[in-house]
Formats: sequence, structure tokens, C-alpha cells
Amino acid sequence: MTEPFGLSDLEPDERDLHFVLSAIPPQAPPVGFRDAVMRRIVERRVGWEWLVAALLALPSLAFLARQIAESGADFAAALVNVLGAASSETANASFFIDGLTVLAVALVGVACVFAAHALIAGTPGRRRLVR
Amino acid sequence: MTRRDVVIVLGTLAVAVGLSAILFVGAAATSPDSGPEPAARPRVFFDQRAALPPGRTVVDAQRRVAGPLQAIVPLQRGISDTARDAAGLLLTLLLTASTLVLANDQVVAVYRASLGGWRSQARVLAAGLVVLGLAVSTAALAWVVYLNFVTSALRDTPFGPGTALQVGLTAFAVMCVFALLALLVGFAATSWRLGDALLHTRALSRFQTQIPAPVVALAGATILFVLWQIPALGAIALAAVVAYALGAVVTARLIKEEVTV
Repeated sequence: MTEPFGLSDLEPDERDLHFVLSAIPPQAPPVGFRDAVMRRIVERRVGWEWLVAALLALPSLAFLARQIAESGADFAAALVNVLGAASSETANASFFIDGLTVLAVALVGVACVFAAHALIAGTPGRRRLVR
Repeated sequence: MTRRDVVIVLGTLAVAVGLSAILFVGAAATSPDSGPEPAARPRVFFDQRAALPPGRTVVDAQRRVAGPLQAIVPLQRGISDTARDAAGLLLTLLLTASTLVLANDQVVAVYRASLGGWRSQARVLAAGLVVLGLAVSTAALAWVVYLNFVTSALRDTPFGPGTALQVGLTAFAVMCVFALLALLVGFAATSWRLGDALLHTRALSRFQTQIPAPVVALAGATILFVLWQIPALGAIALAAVVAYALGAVVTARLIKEEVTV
């Protein structure tokens, strides 16, 4: 048999507390309260990703800027030679690039990946895979 | 920020400081000539006739940087040479990571489609081989038809075979780009799947829940890249990966089934 106020599943010690709590009139939360709470739960903090992106990108960009300022003529000459080789029937060509330039370019790319993820993850209302 | 985030940021800060020192030494050691020093090697060099000029020695480079940083010069040389050789690996990792970020939903769908036992894996691989064969066959036949058309119907017309061939090549290149995009999504999912399979081994199973999915995928991509470098096995591995990646994409696209992760 079901008792009034749904007390059948309560222990005797819990009933007094239940009576007190059930005496409080229900109050509707303010408009937007649920959305605000859910936003706080779902929102991912991506500040660290921006920091990591900046830490990786800034030294690399400074290095690349100095490279272009100092050795921009090398880049231009190599590009002209590449275009020339593409339009000629040469069989032999030699290529060299400074490894640190490769590393700096790759680091800028990695930083951009972090920044892109931070941008996407920071967008509210997006479904994400959480592992 | 959580404790893990702080650790990551501090670790990146340490790496950034070290890299900045190496980049600074590299920039100073190879900056343009001054006085009687040997000429610096160009940063980028491409030539059909001239040979690559010799670079400065480590001793010459050490003379150009301040005292405490001189010790870094040999390390900077080693990192520079390694980075040049590792450009392919860096490109593979960058493409995998960017695909995971920018096409996350598609990669997850393909990853889910490739889950299952050995039968599922064989089915995915078979689907990839079938699609690969279909694509090669279709492309070859299309070129045969197109070349026939160009050399017969367009002969002696203002819109000559040369222009038609350029249009055909451009259209083919555009189609290749779309195929490469699909392949990229499949490759990211395949790498993730391989990393997951490795984490299911007994030795690594305790790290399963600790390692985030992108790191798992990048580890898988690194393993695949290393496999490709093996002389005879590399070509077979590359073909298998391409087939599996395409098969996973096709399976995800065509087969609608519920897979429990």
C-alpha cells in the first residue's frame, strides 16, 4: 500500500527531515539558470592551450622573421630556381634547407593546431568527444 | 586551470626556452658574413647547376656567439640536421593533428566504423582495396576516353588539344585533392586505431585511460611513418594503410550501424 507523500521508501529516521523539506514551497529557478549551470559544466577551459600556442609560436615567428629579414634573397633565389627548373628539362638539381627553419615552420603549425582546437573547444554549444 | 594543465604549460615553457636558445644560436651562427670569416651557407638552396657551398664549421659558428651559448652550437647543429631529415615526419604529425582538430566528427565516425574484431578489420581492408581498385580503374578509363576525345574531336579546332589537356589535368588535380582529403581523415582514424590497438596490449594496458586520444593517434602516425621508411616493407605498408584508410572512410559513409565503444 502506498503511503501519503511517498514515504514508503524512507527509513524512519529520514521521515522528519522529509517533512521539513517538503514543507518548503517549490520555487522556480530564475530564467536562464539551467542554461548558465549547464554552460559552466560543459564549458572547457582552453586558456592553457592558448598559452601553449603562444609559447610555441612566438620564438619560431621571431626566428622566421629574422631569417626573412637577413636571408630573404636566398628564399627568393631558390624560388626563382625552382620555377626555372619546372620549365626546363633538367635532370639534376640540388636542394638544401636549414633544419632550424623546418623546425620553426613546424612549430608554428603545431601552435596553430593548438589555437584552432582552443577556438573550436571554446565555442559554446558544440558536441565534443571526451576521452 | 587544472594541475595537469599547469604541468603542460610549464613543460611547454621549458621546451620554449630551450628552443628559443637553440633558434637564437642558429640565427647568430649562420647570419651573413662579416669580415674575413667563411661565407655562410644559404638558408634555402635550390640550383640545377651550382653545388651547395660548404657551411661554417662548428668552431667558426662558436666564434660568433657569446660565451655560455657556445656550448649549445653542437647541439644546435644536431637538431638542425635532424629536423631537416624529419621534415616528412613533422608534416605527417601536423596533418594528423590538424585533421583530428578540424575534422573531429568525421574522424570519430571513421574510427567508430573501424572498430571490431579481425573480421571487421578484414572487411574494412577489403573495402579499401575494392575502392582503390575502382578509383584506379575509373581514372585510367576516364583518361583513355578523354585522350581519345581530345585527339579526335578537338583536332584542328581553336580550342586545341593543348588547352583541353590543361583543363583535364586541372580537373584531375582537383579530384585528387578531394580524394586526399578523404584519405587524410581515414589516415587520422587509422593512426588512432593503431595507437588504440597498441594500448590494448598487456604491457601498455595500464596507460589506456591516462593517454589522451590525440596523443594515441600521433603515436600511431609515428609508427606508420617509421614503417614506411623500411625499404621493402615500407611500400607494402603504405599501400595497406592507404587501403585501410579508404576502407574505413567508405565503411563509415556507407554502412549505418551502431557500434558500442
